[in-house]
Amino acid sequence: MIDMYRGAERMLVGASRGHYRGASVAPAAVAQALGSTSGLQPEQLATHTRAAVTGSSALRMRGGLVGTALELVAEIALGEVFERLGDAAVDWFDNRDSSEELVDAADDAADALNDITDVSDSACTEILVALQAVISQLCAFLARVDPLEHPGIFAECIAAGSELIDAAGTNILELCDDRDAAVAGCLDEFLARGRVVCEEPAPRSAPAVAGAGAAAAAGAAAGAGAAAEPAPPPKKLMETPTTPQSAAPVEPAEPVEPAPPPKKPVEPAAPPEPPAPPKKPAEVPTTPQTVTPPEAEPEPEPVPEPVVEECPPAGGDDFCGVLGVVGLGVLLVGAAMLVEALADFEMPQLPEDPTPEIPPAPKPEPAPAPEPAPAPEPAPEPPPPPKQNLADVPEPPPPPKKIDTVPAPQPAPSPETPSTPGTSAVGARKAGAW
Amino acid sequence: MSGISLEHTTALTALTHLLTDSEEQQRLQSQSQPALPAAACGRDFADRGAAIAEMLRGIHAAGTTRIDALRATTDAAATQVRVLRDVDKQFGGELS
Repeated sequence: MIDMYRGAERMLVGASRGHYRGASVAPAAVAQALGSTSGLQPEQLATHTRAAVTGSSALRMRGGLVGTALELVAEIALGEVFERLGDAAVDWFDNRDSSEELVDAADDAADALNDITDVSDSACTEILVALQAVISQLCAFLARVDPLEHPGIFAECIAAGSELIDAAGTNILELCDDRDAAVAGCLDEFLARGRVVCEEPAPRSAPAVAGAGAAAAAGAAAGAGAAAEPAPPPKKLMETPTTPQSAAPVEPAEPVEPAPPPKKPVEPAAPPEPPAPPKKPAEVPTTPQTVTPPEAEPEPEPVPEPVVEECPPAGGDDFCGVLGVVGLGVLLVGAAMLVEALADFEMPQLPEDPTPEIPPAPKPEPAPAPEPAPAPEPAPEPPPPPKQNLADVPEPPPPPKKIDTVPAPQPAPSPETPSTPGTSAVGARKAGAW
Repeated sequence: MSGISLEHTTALTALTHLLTDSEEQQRLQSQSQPALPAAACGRDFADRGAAIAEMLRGIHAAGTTRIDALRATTDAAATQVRVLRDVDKQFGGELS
């Protein structure tokens, strides 16, 4: 291209017959501008970027590694090494992703550089071709014009040719500047993206794991202590199996309640399991049978609190058992007293009509049984009947009856005798009852 | 015990495959070295070409470091699995 520029300049210099000395934009400057991107090989950029990134193929690894690695980490959720294995694999794949993105960026940059150079070269070529054509026609015209006969026309043609050459040179310089700026921007962008990948934090070095030595030590020594790391876990394993064994003998210590034993062996087997709560409610119904007062359950309700812990099952049974015994004792005593009271009340009630209400009396029989609940109900019932009976007889005589009873032993006046026969019977019953 | 399920054979097999693939990738990584000539970016852009060449070498080194880390971690994980297997077998034998 620079030859075309120089050729146009030389043509005009020759046709001007010494009036035109050369372009203001020196061909050397134009050549310098045009050659700023000489040696540019965008394909090399992509090739070496690919060599730097895809020497190892993450896609190949992902087929066999990611699945196994992540599956492995998911299955084996213990150990810092496995966490780091997952971190290393993820870090590797992330690096591959970003690096492959950089390869794509290199390809894009190469394409962009090619486009830039192609566009600039074609633009320069068009300018120079047009310049060369115009200067050729101008030089042909100047060859037919006699500068002595038409000095004005000759000078104007030379000036026009000079302006065209200078304008072409200026445009080529501006075009080269724009091209260089585009190339620099493209390279800078690619460099920035690559530096982002380079600045990613490096993976942590693999932890120093007790290697085969520790394995051999752990295998040889019975968890003695040669291998410090593996030792702790085995101890825990030993403790866990021992606890259930120790718990087994403790269970028989609670033979007071034969029912719970079958449930207890299940509980120690699943101490870590939270489903313990549902089992307790199952036990509670058993104890309530002994302590019928579900009304008094508010006291056993605190039992759910220990439910959170593993031990609560045993403790809860103990507490329930104690309460059941105490409650049973209190209940028996109360029931006995009620039976006695009812027995006393039965005598006066038998002669009376409210016999249908007497049936509750037999209920006290279950009192010794674990169902004393019905017993307390009949107890309060009997007392009201006599009162009601007395109330049913709200005749005015009752007050005087009491007065009569007291003075009864004393000499009874004759006028009162007619009324006493009806009331005296009632008063005799009360005295007999009490 | 929080639902740990450890299958030594499966784990060691997976780790062995992982180790083999890591070594293969390590070999491939060492075979390719970026060597971008600074002049490949143009006569007036040699400085940028040199910077890009350095950056590509850094990327290659970072990839190599990560492959090495993955391989070393895989090796360590395999070692730990063997340790756990031995300890598990030992205590299992003691409990039996």
